[in-house]
Amino acid sequence: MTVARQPGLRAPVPLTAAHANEGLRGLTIKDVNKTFSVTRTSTLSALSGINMAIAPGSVVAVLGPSGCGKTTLLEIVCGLQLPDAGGKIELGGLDVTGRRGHFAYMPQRDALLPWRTALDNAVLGLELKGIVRKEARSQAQELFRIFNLAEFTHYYPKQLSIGMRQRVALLRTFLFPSTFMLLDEPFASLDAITRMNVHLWLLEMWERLERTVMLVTHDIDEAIFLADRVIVLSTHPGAIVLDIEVPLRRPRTLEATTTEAFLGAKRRLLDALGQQVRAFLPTD
Amino acid sequence: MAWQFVPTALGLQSYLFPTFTEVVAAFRGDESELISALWTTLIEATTGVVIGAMVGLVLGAVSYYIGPLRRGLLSILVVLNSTPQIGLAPVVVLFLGSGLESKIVLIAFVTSFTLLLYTLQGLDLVPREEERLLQSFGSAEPWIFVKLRLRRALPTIMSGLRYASSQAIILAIVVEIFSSNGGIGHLILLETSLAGYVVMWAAALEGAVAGLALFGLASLLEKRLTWWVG
Repeated sequence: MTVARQPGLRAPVPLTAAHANEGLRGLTIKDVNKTFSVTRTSTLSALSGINMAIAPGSVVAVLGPSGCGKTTLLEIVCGLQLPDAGGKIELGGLDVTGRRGHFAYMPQRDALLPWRTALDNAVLGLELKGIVRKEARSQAQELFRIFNLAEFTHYYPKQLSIGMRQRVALLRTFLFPSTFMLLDEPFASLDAITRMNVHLWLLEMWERLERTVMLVTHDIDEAIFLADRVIVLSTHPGAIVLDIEVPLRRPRTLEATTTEAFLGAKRRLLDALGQQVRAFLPTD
Repeated sequence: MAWQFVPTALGLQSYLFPTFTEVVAAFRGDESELISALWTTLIEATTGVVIGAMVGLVLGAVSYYIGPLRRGLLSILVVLNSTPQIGLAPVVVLFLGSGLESKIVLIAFVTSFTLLLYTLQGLDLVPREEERLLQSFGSAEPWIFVKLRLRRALPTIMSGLRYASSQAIILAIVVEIFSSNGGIGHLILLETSLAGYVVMWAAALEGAVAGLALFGLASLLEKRLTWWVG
């Protein structure tokens, strides 16, 4: 199922030849397990039996409490870690298990390098992919302009507010020559109001620049608001306990967060997550 | 200030403990000797530090990736640190004579191990998230080293450089006292034996100036390279 976009809303901006050529691709996660050895005799099962298929051009949220292996899953997908034997990651049919450079990855903290300006941080991925800095800068400049951040290009990270830093990090992720984005709790460090703003900003960017997004979060409202589909992971071991479609139309507006459809989805997710909490409550 | 008044106040022999103004006057009189001594010591220390720093940096970078090499070099460092460095002075002088070379080699040797240590410590300070980010791009390790690890290590490396600079002047002067044709230590020794205490004090003052100058240079470099810290 590919996501239905409202036609004629705004023209997509491919931005680089790399993005245009690659096109949107789907992701298949097959039989991914991950065990860590804690001591010489005992092991911890971080992920168990993860199987997922993500449609090109969709936004999928992976929801779960901290420690449920969400970050591990993202790292396995983008090749920073290997799954246990037998696990496979396929991007558009291509086996990319353990191979790096196919995904636009954004780690939990913004990881902006303090000695680089906002613009130079945004082009970091392009630069390391071999694109000449001047060319990379002009592409980035264009993106900064479209999203009203042009005046911040020469600021250094320490001069930027946390919301701004997240936006710059997101721009860096959008600029990376891959149409598949992996976001690891990108809004966790933002206060509620800034988070709302950055959500809308992200949705706007996603509308304009075609991408497939896999987003990890612990925030239920965020998952429902941003995604087409929400997958709930349990902890110890991390396994899929629920997989629902989000019944909200695009483009999403803040009003949608108070509709019956939104609350219905939220109820189902709370129920699935609530079972996690009950596992830790005292039993007497 | 204290230097000016304390000696006379304490009634010290003026030929043993000249006042500040008397010492400064010596610069007017014996300036060629004093200037050439300062210059010699500065050359020895600076050359030694620069060579040692480059060697230490390269060794640090290489042994960051090669575990056994790292462990081997660090154990040599432990042995070295336990030996008073001055004890190495006779060895270098024996092999390389009393000229500039022996001091430069010794200083470079000691500096390289200092910088090796500081480089390794600095390289270990890379935040995991930044490392993961660059790795996710699919970049080769040499690029990650240059664009990230080295930059992150610079503040630590620079403070090692500052430390090595102050060490270097002291080491240079001490070896010069032991055996030398020139330099501040040699001048101090010479003037002591000739009872030229004013010049001796002037030379000692120069030593302090030289130390400050080298330290100051290192600090300037640090500011330029690590302006983004804090």
